[in-house]
Amino acid sequence: MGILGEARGAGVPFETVLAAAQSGAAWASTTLWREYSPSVAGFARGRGSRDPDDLASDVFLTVFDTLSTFSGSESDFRSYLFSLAYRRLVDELRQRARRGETVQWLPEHDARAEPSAEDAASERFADSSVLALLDGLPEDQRNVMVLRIVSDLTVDQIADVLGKKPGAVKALQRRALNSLRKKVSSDPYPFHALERLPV
Amino acid sequence: MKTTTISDRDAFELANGRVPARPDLDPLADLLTAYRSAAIGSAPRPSAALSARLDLSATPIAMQRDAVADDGSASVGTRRAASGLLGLGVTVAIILGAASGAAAVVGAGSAGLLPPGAQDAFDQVVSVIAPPGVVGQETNDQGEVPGTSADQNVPGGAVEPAPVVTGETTSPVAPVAPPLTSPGDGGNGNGNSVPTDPAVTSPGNSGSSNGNSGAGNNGNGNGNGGPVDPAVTSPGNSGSSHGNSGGGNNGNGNGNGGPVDPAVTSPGNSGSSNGNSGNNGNKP
Repeated sequence: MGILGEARGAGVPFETVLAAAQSGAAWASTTLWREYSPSVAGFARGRGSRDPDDLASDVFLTVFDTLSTFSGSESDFRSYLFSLAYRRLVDELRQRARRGETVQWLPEHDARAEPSAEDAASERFADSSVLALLDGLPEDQRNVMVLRIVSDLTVDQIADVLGKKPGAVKALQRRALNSLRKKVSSDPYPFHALERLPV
Repeated sequence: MKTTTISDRDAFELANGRVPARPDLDPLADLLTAYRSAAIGSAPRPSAALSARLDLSATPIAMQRDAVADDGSASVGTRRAASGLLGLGVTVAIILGAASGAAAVVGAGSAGLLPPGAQDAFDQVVSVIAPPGVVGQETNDQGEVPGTSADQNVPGGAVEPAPVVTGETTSPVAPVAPPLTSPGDGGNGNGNSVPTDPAVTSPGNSGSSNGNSGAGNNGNGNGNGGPVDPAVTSPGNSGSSHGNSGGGNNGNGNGNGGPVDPAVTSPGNSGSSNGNSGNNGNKP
């Protein structure tokens, strides 16, 4: 599956899938999972969740538990889904901030060790380097950018999820893009490698 | 480098994966594309608790989704329309391929160029389909199980495996389609002919069936010819079936001739089938 929002050709209407899922049909729940989970996990990954798959599973368990009370269109469902994902992510980030974070020691992650040339080259193009691009942005802007780019939500949907006005979301998006553009313009190797090979 | 601010329009285009008509924003557009790819990655694996509530072995079902309207919303809509057209292209290719194959068979059959057994089957099928009253001892009442209304109204879902019925089936009772386990299953039809009376010298027995599905999954049809009675000197038996699907997915048909009796001097038995797919197209 591609980006969330890629069109399907002929298919089952969302309303039908929703009604079946509300009645407990496993095939409908599976369809919703397959359709939306990549973008939920992508949102979690983009916002720095330690276990995006686990977060996505938790979100969908909550969705299926509360689905009987939901009514609305597919657009409403997406807002609802990502609202849950956003809350779950905020919980995780708060928990980590409160308790601190324990990370398993791995030799390849030891900052005292110099990576080999091969590791450095592969790291340069690794997903983590790309995902770190938004790390320098303020949290509000990161939320907007990830929901916009990865989750493919509209400005109005993001406003629903974050509890902001659409105008504020647009402003955050514009500021984030301007910041990123400056970063790209000033950095000849925006995907990581600020360092150059020694001459 | 010229560094004018990013307008709402530019922001919208960038956020939707398009490159604005500003060369200075190309690197930023590339960066966002890379970010999107890195973040989405592969599909997540459900937890054990969630897996218990899903049916991951089921065939994935396509779901229609709303077009997203936004400020200057052409980009997402355009992307979706383009993607839909690509999907349609595959469907059209399958339909065209099936249609051309069927046309070739029909043309050869009309010209009498098929092998003897196949030609008999073709003639039999044509006689069954075109003039209903011509074929003797037709037992469609017992054998035909067209897609039920429940089947046709289903939204599409996990595909039921087609029941395997061989040509050696001699029971006059048509097998019952397996129960559907979800509202989205395809329709299955099975038809079997009963043995003819020995005294009848009609062209033989035939079974026909139609399986239709409603919203886009598989329709399967199986038809089986009944056994030939030794006294019958007809050209043999044939089974024909038609599987049609509504929303553009697979239609499968299987036809099996009944067993040949050694005493029969006819060219033998044959089976024919047709599988059709298309948008709500059911073969008459």
